[in-house]
Amino acid sequence: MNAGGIHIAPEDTAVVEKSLPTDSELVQKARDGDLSAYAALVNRHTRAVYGIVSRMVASRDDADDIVQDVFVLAYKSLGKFRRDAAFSTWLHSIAVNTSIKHIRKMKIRQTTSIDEFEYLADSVLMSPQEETPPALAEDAERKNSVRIAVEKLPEKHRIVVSLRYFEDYSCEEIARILHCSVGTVWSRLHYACKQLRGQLDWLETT
Amino acid sequence: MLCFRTRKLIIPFIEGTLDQRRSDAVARHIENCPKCAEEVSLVRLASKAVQESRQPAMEPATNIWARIEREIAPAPAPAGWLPRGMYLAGAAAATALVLFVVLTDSGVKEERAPLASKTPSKVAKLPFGTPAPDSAPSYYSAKPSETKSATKLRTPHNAHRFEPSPSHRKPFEVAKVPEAVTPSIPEPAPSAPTMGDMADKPTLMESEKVAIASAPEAYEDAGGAPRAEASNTMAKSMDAAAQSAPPASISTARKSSAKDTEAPTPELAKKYEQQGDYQAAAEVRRKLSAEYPNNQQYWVSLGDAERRVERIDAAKSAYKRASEIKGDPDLKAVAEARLKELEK
Repeated sequence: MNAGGIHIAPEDTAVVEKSLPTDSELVQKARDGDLSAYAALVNRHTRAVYGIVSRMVASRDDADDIVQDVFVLAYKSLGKFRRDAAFSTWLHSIAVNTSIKHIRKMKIRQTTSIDEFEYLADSVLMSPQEETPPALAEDAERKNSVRIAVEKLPEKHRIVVSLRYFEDYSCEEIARILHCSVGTVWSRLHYACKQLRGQLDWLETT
Repeated sequence: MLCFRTRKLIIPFIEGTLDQRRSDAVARHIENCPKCAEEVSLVRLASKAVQESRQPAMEPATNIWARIEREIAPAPAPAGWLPRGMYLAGAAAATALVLFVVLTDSGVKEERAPLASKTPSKVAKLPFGTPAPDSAPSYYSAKPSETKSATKLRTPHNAHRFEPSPSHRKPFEVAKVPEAVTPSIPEPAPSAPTMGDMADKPTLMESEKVAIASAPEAYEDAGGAPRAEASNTMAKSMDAAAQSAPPASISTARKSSAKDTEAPTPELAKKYEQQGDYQAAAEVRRKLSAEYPNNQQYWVSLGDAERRVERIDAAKSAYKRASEIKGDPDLKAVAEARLKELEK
């Protein structure tokens, strides 16, 4: 490997990777006004934030706006960030709260998003059967009906379900993000599953 | 373990995150409780179905950092903007200018309505030579050069300030109308003359005494108006002055008597004061006070005029009369203060 005229042996790449700044270091630099440090943080966490946000809003434009708001708000609130929590947890907490605020503000659009899901489900159901094998069509139908059922869950339950089953956060992580106890997360998940079971009759026959 | 306790632990039990002791307890309960066993089964199915329905998350927008940066990067100052310090300096300059204009304007207003804003104590402290109701202290305390510029500045304002003709006034209303005072300040004097200053200028006083001596006669000659109370005491001092006056001065006195044929107005008095003819000015003011005995302002101005020509008794009488009139309390205070000053 030749970088800038300096030969770097392949085994040295591990050393280079190890020398990547931690979130805390980048946060400190960003606090001092180093925008490139914040850019690195954004680059590191954009995908996760998009994951959270896109589970909560269906519109691409809305998701982009919310993600932008999340990172802007996080930058402006860097002074309030305490080192006792991971930056990612703190950032994801901002993402969840910003998404909730956005959904509440744009209640009509949220309804539209549910309609979009329904439209999506309908389009899957109405798609020509000859183009896809029956088993695949049925599977797609079930997945869509599950997503629609999740969308219809109460907000606090939907958030927990999204974070746990779509984004693979552990219950402890979700508890930290939502500033609640692990028992509350368990309880909400249990309630959500019971609700889903009520909406999805085919679950019992599976 | 009871059912409701078991159901609280179903999620961690399914996920396998429950500690061994509680996990065993839940397992034992499920074996013996078909309802809880069904619950566990359905929650497991539902969670599995949700996990399977997962779709890939949205890909981050390619321009997301540009959008964020646009919001958080400090905006460059638009062309033509000034540094913050310059704005502060500009604001300070603007404030100073506004203050200057306001103060100047208020000074002019004071000249127009001098008694509205001054307290008696402040007014009473004004030195002689400061036509009390009309005065602006800074004007008179200024150096000669400053005085000149101040005069220039105020000239346009003063130019509009005319007293209405006495014949058109009601006596009591007139008392509130200030006289123009700027011209009453002797041009050559660097500052307002005080009694001390006047005593230090015997030559000037001697020449003026000539005119003073002839004033009563001139007044008598002109004489349609009744002589006021103050004029009686004036006459005594004027007679005394006449005895010491040289005969050569009689022609001067005649000149001044010729002036007396003009109708007495404050403008005329000011005109004489501007010309340095304080004797003629005093004479006009005497007539004005005689004609309008209830005009407090006229009596104060007469007192000032009498002081200029060193007729102290007459000045005292004029101030006393001004202080006795139930008019403006500020004017009264001025008159009393000047009377007290003379009595010292």
